[in-house]
Amino acid sequence: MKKYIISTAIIIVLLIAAMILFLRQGDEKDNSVALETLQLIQIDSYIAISSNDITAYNRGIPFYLSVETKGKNNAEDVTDFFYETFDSVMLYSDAHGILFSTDSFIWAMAENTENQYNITLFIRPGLDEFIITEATKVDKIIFSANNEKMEYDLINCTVEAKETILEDKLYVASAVMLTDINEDLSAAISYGFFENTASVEGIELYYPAGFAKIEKHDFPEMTYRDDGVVYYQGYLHFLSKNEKVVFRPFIQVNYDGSSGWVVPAVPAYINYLNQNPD
Amino acid sequence: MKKIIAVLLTLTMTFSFGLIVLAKGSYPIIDDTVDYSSLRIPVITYEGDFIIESFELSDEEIELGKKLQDFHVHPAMTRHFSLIAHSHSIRDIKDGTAKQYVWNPSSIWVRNSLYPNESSWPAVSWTQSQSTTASATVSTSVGVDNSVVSTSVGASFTTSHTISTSTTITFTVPYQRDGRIKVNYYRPYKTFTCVTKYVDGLGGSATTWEETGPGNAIGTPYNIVATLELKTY
Repeated sequence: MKKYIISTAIIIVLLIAAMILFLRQGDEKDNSVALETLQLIQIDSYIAISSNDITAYNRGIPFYLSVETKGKNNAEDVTDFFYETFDSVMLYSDAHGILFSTDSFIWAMAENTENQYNITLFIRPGLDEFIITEATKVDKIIFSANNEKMEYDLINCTVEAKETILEDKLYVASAVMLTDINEDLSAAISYGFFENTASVEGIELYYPAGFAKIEKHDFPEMTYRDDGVVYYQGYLHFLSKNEKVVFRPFIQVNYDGSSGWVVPAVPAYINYLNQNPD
Repeated sequence: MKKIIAVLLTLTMTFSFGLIVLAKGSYPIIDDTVDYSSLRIPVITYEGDFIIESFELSDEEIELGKKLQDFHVHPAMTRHFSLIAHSHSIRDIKDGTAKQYVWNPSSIWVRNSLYPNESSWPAVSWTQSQSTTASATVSTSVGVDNSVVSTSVGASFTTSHTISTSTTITFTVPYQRDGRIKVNYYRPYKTFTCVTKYVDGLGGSATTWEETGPGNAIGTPYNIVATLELKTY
């Protein structure tokens, strides 16, 4: 009898220990991403999207964020956490109210420094889900995560839509994703176009005048062809230093005596140089 | 006849050795066998989100570069052969067309042929651990040492540079696309004339003459641009 009681007690103690261990592991996993540290890492943003082409990122609206983590984790863990935790996202305009809401995200993340991840979020509105006829300022991005709202102010974020050339003619196969503002306040940019049936004759950029202190742009004779892609390399000229600029302009492409708009797959993320840590 | 040749040979050899002795006696002797490249000092420059690791010359290498521009002799023939005192320099420095370079942090295209669901799209990124080295590219002639080029146009034209990123940005590859990251950058290109000037120290008034040859060097990377390439297949 005594043995039976002792055995039962041991089993109960072991079961309790296992339960505590299980709960602790669960807590650790939940706490591995410090969601309270999630922040936007963009200031001036101009996002061109297609009004007629849903493929790839043509209607994708990107956002740049960062988050801190605790303990050991990897990009896959953090990505899974975001997919599991975030229920929906809403774009809000002070002038127009709710612009778009979706429960569909494209999260991509990579560890930037130890326990700090940089995140790119794309949301891709369908053709009928987000119709804008002019450049539209987005003032807030509001997440719903675990039934709690997380609201972030967008300082200067504009989205604009235009009808774009379809891929059977040509598309942007290479887009600057990271560049820096030099001492002379110029930032190098590069776009490449895959010519399916159309031949590119020249390009021009379109974005709001004065956006992000950009004074002008130019495309000097720095064009080359490689592997079926024709590349145009040029410069943005800024009036003064700027940082955390997200820049996806429309590109007007002249081709075969005609012209039309395309959008780069991704924006350029632009910072001023000499960010030397003290 | 044999006696005359022997006497002439003896005189020639005596003259040559005398020249060396005179030269060594009149001008500093520079040991050109020493390689100071391991003493270079790494310098890190942050340009926006890019990191460029370069090198500054050590005091020893700068001193060598300066000394080589004054008349000197060498005890060995590492750099070039000359029994006569001489100096090295470069001139006619001109900016040429910048050189363009392309580097893929990962040369393999990431193909998304399996994941139409956008939450499963594979990612491509340029991470902080991936870097490329723009190697030292300098060409000289007529015995001009790289340290001479460094003192004239800067060490950035004679040393290597490593490019990396401080900000990792990741994108996913949409369905039915191939994706990869490509990094473009330029390096300034300079051409110049290499000059080795000789001095004949014998006699009351020294006479000088020079040899010239071509030279060029490529400097620090600039206009670094990371691009995302997305292609249909």
